[in-house]
Amino acid sequence: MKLLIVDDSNIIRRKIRRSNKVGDLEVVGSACNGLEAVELVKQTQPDLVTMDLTMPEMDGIESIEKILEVKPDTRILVVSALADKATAIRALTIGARGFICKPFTEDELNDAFEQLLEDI
Amino acid sequence: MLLHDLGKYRGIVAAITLFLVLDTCVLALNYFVSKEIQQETESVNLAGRQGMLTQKLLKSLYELQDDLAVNLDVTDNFQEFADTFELFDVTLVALKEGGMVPVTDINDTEQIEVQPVNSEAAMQSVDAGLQLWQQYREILGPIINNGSEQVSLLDIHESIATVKETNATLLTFMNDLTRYMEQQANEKTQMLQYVELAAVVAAILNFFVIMFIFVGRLKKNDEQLELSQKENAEILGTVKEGLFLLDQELIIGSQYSQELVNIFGRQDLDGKKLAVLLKDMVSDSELQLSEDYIGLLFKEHVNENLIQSLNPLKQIEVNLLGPTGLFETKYLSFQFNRVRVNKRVSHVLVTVMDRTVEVELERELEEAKTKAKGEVDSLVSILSIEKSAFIDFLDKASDGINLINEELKSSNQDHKAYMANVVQFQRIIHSIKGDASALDVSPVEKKTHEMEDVLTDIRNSDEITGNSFLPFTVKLDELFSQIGSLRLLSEQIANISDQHSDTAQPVTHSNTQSFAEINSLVKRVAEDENKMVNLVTQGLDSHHVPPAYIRKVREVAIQLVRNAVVHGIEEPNKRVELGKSPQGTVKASFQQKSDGNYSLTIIDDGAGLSVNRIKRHALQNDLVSEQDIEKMSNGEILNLIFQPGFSTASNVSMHAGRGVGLDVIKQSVMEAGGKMKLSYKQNKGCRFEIVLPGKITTTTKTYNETDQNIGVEQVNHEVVNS
Repeated sequence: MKLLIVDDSNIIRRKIRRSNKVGDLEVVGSACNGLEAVELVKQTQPDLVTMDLTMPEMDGIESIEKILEVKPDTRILVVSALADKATAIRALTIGARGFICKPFTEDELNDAFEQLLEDI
Repeated sequence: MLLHDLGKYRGIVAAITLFLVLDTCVLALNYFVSKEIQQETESVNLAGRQGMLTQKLLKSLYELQDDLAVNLDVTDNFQEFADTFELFDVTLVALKEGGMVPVTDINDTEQIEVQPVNSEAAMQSVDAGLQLWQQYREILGPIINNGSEQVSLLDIHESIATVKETNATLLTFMNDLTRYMEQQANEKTQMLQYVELAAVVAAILNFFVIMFIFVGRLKKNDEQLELSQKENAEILGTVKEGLFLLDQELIIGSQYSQELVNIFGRQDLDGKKLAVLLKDMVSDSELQLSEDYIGLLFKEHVNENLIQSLNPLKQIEVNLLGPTGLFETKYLSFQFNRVRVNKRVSHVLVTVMDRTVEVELERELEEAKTKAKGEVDSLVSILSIEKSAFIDFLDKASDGINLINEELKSSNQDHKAYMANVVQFQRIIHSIKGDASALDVSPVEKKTHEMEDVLTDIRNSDEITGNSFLPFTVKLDELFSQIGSLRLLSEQIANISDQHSDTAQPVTHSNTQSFAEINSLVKRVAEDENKMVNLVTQGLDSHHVPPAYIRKVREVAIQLVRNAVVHGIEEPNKRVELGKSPQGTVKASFQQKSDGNYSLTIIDDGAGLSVNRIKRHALQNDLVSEQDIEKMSNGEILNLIFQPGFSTASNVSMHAGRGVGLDVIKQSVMEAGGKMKLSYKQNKGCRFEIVLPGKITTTTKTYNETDQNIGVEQVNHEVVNS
C-alpha cells in the first residue's frame, strides 16, 4: 500500500509518518501544497492520501478533485481542524472517504488507516 | 426447483395446476365419450334402418312379383330390391366387423365409419341376424347376381315365401339390436354425466382445500404480521432513545419511538422533512450543515466511522416546549447510522438522546469544582485580607442582596419601575463586584460579573416584566450562598484565632482586631451616606467581652452601629439646621453590670424615632392594617420596628431600606437568652441596650420571657444618655 502525505505543517507530516500503521505502508512522498500533491499522485500512484484542507497554492477541495481525476480509486483521508466543518463535509461529498480532526492521537490515526484499508 | 423458487406461493400454484389438469382430463374424457356416443347414435340409427330395410326388402319383392306378373319392366324395382339387399348386407357386416357404411343409400358416396358392436346382447342379436341373413343371401344372392333380365316370377315367388316366413324374426333381431345399442349409448351418456358430476365435485373439493389451506395460511401470516407490528410498537414505545428513519430525501419514516414524541413534544413527524423537526432548534447554517452531513451517509465511498467527529448535532442546546407548557432547555444528542438493505444504504437511522441530566450534572460538577477552588482561593484571600475589611465587604454584599430581594418581592410594577430596579440592581451588583475585585475574592467577582451580564440582557429587552428577573434571581441566590459560605469560613477562621488567642497570644491584640472593623465600618457607611460620624467605643475588647460572647456582641454591635449611622445620625446640613454639631456621635460600650449580667449599649445623638414615620411605613409595607394601627399604643407602634421586613429609610440605598436589621438582632439576642431595651427622644437621639445573661448558657431562650415581651421592654421618651 502506498501512502502520500499532504500537509503544509512539517510537524503533522512527521507525526503521520511516525504512526505505527504507517509502518506497514510505504510512504511514497509528502507534499506541502495542493499542486505538489497532484503532481506526486501522477508520479507515484498512491493508494492512500492524507489531505490537509487549508494549504497554500491549491486548497484541499481543489486538490481532492484533481487527485480523483488522476486516480479515481485513491482513498483520501481528510486531516483537518474541526473549525470548518462545512469544508470538511464538502471534501467528503466530492470523494474523500474519511475525516480525522487535528489534533489527533496516534491511536486515532491508526484506527483511521485501518478503517480506510478495511476492504482492500 | 421452480416450485421451490415460488416460496410461499408454491402451494397455491400447485392447487391451481391440479385444478387445470383435472379440468383438462374431464374435458378430454368428455370429448372422447361424446364422440363415442355420437358414433353409437349413428350405429343405433343404422340398426334402426336395418329393421326398416327388412320391410323394404319384402315390399320390393312383392313389387317385383307384381311387375313380373303383368310383364312390366322390372329394372327399377329390381335395382331398388338389389340396393336394399346390398345396403342391409353391408350394414350388418359392418355392425359385426366394423367398416364404412353409406349414409343414405348404397350409392351414396358419403359414408360413415361403424365400429363393431361390443356388448354381449348386441353381438348376440347381430350374430343371430347374420345367421338368418345367410339364408337370404343364399336365396336372394343368385337372383341379384343374375340381374333383372333373367329374374323369373318363380324365383321371386319362392323368395317371397322364404322372406315372408323369416322376415318378422329378422326384424325382431334388428329391433333388439337397436334396443341394445340404444341401451349402451344411454349407459355411456350416463357415465359421462357421472364423470362430469365427479369432476364438479372434485373441483369444488379442490376449491375448499385451497380455501381452507390458504385462508388458514393468510390468517397465520396476518397474525404473525400483527404480532411483529405489536412487538415493533412495544420496542418503539419502550426504548429510551428517540428513534426514526430518514430516507434519501431526508423525510422522516412512519415509525418512530415514543421517546421522540416525548423529547420534541410533537406527534406529527411522520412524512415530515427533517428540517421541520430541526428548524427553531438550530440555525439555518447548522441545519444546512446537518443535511449535508447526513447526505454523506448516503454516499457509499464515505467511511461511516470516519466522519463521526463532523456530526454537527452531536450535542445541541435547544429550547423545547415541556409537558408543563413552559419552554425547557434541553441538551440533545443526535446520532446517525446507515441502514443497509441488499448492501446498499437505504435509510439513515437517527438516534436522539436527551442528555440534559448528564450535561447538567457535568455542569454542576464543574461548578462544584470551581466553587471548591473558589473557596480555597477565598480562604487564601481571607487570610491575606484585613479581616475587618472582609467582614465589611460581606456585610455590604449581604445588605445589597437583601435590598435587591426586597425590591424583587414588591409586585404590580410597570416597565418603568422595573427599569428603575434594573438600574439600581446594576449599581449594587457593580459595587459588590468592585469590592470583590479589590479584595481579590474571585468567585464573588465572577458571579457578580455574570449577574451584570444578566441585568444588561434584561435592560435591553423590549418589555420588562416580573418574569424577566427569573434568571437574575437564580444568580442572586447563588451569590447569597457564596456570601454565606464566605461568612462561615471567616467565622471559622475567627474562631480558630479566638481560641488560639485565649491560650497563647496576648489577648488584647486579637480582640482589638475583632472589634476594629466597627471603626472602619462606621467610616465607610458614613462616607457612603454622606454623613460625618464619630464612633466612641468602650469595653469592646476581650478584656471585657467574654470569649463566648465575642461573636454575638460583634454582630449586634455592627448592626446597631450601622443602624445608628444610617437611620439615626442626620446629614451634616440637617444637624446644623437643628443646632447640632455637623458631626454626629455614636457610642458603643460594653460592660458587666453589678447583677453579673452583661450590657451592650449603642447611643447616638441623631434624630431619634418618629411614631408617625413608623406608622406610615408599617402601613406602606402592609405590616398592619389601618384599622389595627388606630387602636395601637405608641409602644406597640414602636414595637413594629422589630417586625421582619420593616425599614424606615425613605431612600433606598446600599445601607438603608434593607428590611433586615432589628428583627435579626432581636432574634440573635433572644437566642442568647438576652433582652433588648430601646429608648429615644425626638431629634436628640436613640439608645439601644442589649442585656446578655451573666451566666453564659448554650441552650437558647432560657433567659427569655415571652416573645411579645422581648421587644421594646421600656419606651422612655427621655434620652437616657446622649
